[in-house]
Amino acid sequence: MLIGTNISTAIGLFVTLGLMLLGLLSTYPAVKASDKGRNFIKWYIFGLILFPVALIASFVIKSNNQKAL
Amino acid sequence: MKKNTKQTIVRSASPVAEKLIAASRTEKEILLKEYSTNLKGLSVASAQELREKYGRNEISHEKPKPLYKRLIEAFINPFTIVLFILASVSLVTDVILAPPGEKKFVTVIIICTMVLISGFLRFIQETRSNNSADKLKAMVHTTVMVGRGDEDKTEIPLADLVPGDIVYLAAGDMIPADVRIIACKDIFISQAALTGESEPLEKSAGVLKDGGTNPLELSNLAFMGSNVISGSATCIVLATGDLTCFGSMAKEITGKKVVTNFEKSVNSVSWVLIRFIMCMIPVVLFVNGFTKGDWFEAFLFALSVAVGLTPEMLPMIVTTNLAKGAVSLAKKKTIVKNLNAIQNFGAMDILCTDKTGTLTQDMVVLEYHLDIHGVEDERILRHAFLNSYYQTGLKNLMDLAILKHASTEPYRSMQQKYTKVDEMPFDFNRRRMSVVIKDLEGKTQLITKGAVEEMLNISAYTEYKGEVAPITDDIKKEILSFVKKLNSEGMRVIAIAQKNSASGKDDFSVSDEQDMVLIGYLAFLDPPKLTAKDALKALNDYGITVKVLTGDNDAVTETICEQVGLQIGNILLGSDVNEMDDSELSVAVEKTNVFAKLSPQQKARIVRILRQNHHTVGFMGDGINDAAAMRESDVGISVDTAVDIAKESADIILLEKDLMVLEKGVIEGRKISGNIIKYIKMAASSNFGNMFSVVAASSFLPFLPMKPIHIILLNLIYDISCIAIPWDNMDIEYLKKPRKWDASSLSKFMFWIGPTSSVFDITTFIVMFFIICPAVFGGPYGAPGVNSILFASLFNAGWFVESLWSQTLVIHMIRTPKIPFIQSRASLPLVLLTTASIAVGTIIPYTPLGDMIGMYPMPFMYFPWLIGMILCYMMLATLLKKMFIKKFGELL
Repeated sequence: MLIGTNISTAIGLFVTLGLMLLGLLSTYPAVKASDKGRNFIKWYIFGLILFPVALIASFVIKSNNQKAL
Repeated sequence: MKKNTKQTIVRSASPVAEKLIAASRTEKEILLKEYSTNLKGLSVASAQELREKYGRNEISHEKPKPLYKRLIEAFINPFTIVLFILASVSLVTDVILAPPGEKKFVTVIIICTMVLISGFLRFIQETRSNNSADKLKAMVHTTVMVGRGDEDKTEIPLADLVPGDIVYLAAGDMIPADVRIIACKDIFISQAALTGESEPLEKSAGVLKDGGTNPLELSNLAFMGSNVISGSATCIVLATGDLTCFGSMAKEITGKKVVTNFEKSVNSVSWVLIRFIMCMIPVVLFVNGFTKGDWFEAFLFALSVAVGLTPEMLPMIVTTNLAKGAVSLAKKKTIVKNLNAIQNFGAMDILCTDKTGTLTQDMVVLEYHLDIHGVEDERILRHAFLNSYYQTGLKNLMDLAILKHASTEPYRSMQQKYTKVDEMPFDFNRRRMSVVIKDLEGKTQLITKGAVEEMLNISAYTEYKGEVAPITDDIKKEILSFVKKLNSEGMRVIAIAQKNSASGKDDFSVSDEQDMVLIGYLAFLDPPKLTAKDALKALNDYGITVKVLTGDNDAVTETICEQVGLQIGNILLGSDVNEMDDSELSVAVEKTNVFAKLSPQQKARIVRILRQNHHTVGFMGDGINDAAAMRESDVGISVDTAVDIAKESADIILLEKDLMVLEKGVIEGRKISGNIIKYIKMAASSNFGNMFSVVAASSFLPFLPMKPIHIILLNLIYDISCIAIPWDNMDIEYLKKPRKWDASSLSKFMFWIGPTSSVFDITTFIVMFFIICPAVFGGPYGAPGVNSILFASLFNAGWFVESLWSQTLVIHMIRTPKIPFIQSRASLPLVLLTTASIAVGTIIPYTPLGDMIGMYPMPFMYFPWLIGMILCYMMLATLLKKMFIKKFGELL
């Protein structure tokens, strides 16, 4: 990969790519948590801020739907 | 939402009003002379002459639009207008204002090509659809019974009617022209289509010496556009086609069509996309202008992005889908009168249907003719025969079953022994009909047949073996019990009563139907259709709940439903429905699938309540008593053998009254609406994603990511690949459920799926800018010795090809929730066209065309990156699709 003097281009493109990937991938823990009775929007924001933690947490949390039953 | 045509009628005299008013004041004999006709009707030769003089009985505004008008309309839509504007701008900037030697026509040519492709395809499809519709409508026969002087009464097409024709009208008929009634029996006509008045009006045959100046209020006239609710009449035709009241008011009638939910959604999608474009273009213009400094180039780029974002194929795809679908449905014996009903057909989750002819064979068999004690008695059949033979109104299946005996003795000679004096036609409230006959000795007898309960109400006596006795409660109980037993065996029972009338009396009315002598009853078997059981199961499998709405009694209905395997959750009678208010009924209709002894108004009310409960309701019927419910439903379904008013009220007509035909039609309807929704979601999401890519590229790259001509060429190739979408398949799982159009699902889809391709566009920018282009040109952009122009050309080519691959593969990704190519494959035309588009687009940089438009051929090392990115794109898209389905329940 040759960046040369195109540092602003590199930063701009990589940051944009990272943010977009983050935005898309954050839907995964949000959907998983939503399946378990949690608030989708809150978990989405959680995923945007701390994606790895949100991802693990979405697997670990217990389902609220079972508790309701 | 049901399509309604609301009409505002001006209640003023039309140009022919004076003629009609004059006719209403003229004696019958003088009128017949004026029109050179007689009571037997015109001769064939006279009718032909008059047809040449007056033309066909058709309204001008129903005639097809001229070719040039249809051509213009095919090209006029918001998207092509945008493209016209952009082409004009390009013409000015690239040609008119460009210095000599630098004039470039390519952009203008390509934009015009896109407009022409979209417009012509739409025109061709609409023409094919109109031609098919005309042929299909011709399969739905609307005829009228006329007298042809030298022959017997004969049925002729409505369009062949001429002034002077003698027409015979019966219950359920549409009035074919403006007529003066010269003889009638208890005729009630609905003029709702002309005046908006829902109550039927009783008409008469006498002369009106002073009837007023508004022909619509004259009781001895009837008008084209109205229909017969009950009774019968003989009429002379006064005016046809444009010379009728309806025809002459046609220009004053404002026919305002209420658009369906689906049409509104498609229109709103178009405007949402246009608003996106209007917002994005200034952003792209300013970002490029400020970052690159070349405002003219930025302007051209913004222009081409606008072209790229415009889904100009949307109107063509919608039209083609609907038109192709209508033709395809016709092959499955389903004629679509109203194209926009196709989407409702696909969304239908409840089908309300009549029992007779749908669950049962259209073939009623007379099983028994019994006296009041249940013993076979030929006399009962003779009375019933006389009643059916002499009635001039609509003969139902039971009448036809009775009249099968007409050619045998003693029934054949009975026809010579009696003459008809009068009749009281059938109506759905009274549920009986009567004839008055006179024998050769002048003895007059009133014979009535009808529903058992109603006949018991008007009978004061019974007759058994010649002995007449007052009717007692015990006898009533015995009769009702025996009838119930017959009903439980699936038989329909009607009772017969008679009474002798005073000689000399010629004029009878409904009030004479009292103190009758009940003589017996007839039992008819209406066997269930062999295919009904399978058809009901198939409809159930496709997510459609069938509810039976019948005017017949509950015992017969229950037996038939059991025989066809319809699980009866609950039965409600018309009397039960009347006792409930709307909120109670809205709960009851969900638990009930059989409704019996319903009046037409009750049928319509049930349909309305089901729609209020957010169901998409289809109503299938063929009788007069079904028209109101059909108009109330989302999809009115009738058959070509139905009465005129039922066919007129229907959106869809089946050429066979068979639920199996309906099932095939429903599946096709879902396929059609699925393909439309597919394109809409694809266009919206990929355009949304492209915007991110374009803004990112404009913001961070030191040159334009694609030249304007590249974007336009890309759009052209992509548009061509979309042409095959109307011929695509849908997954079996998609077709299994009713599909209601939900506009809110589009925005969710755009936000979830749209940015997916953007991610890989940006990845392409990174790969091209930092890996491939530096590798080819020996250094990063801007470094000494690196050709910046060629660097940009290679970058353009790389993004051009990747963009084409990802955009075209979106078609395959989004058409199914499954893994494309592996679990679900598109139709062959779509696969071939998309493959060809990708191939052509990939080769362009290697051709002289590519060189001409400023593309540099990609090196071999580009392709492994391309394939890797495309595979990653497909994986990410699959993941997001699965999450979308998990969150929202469905993809399309």
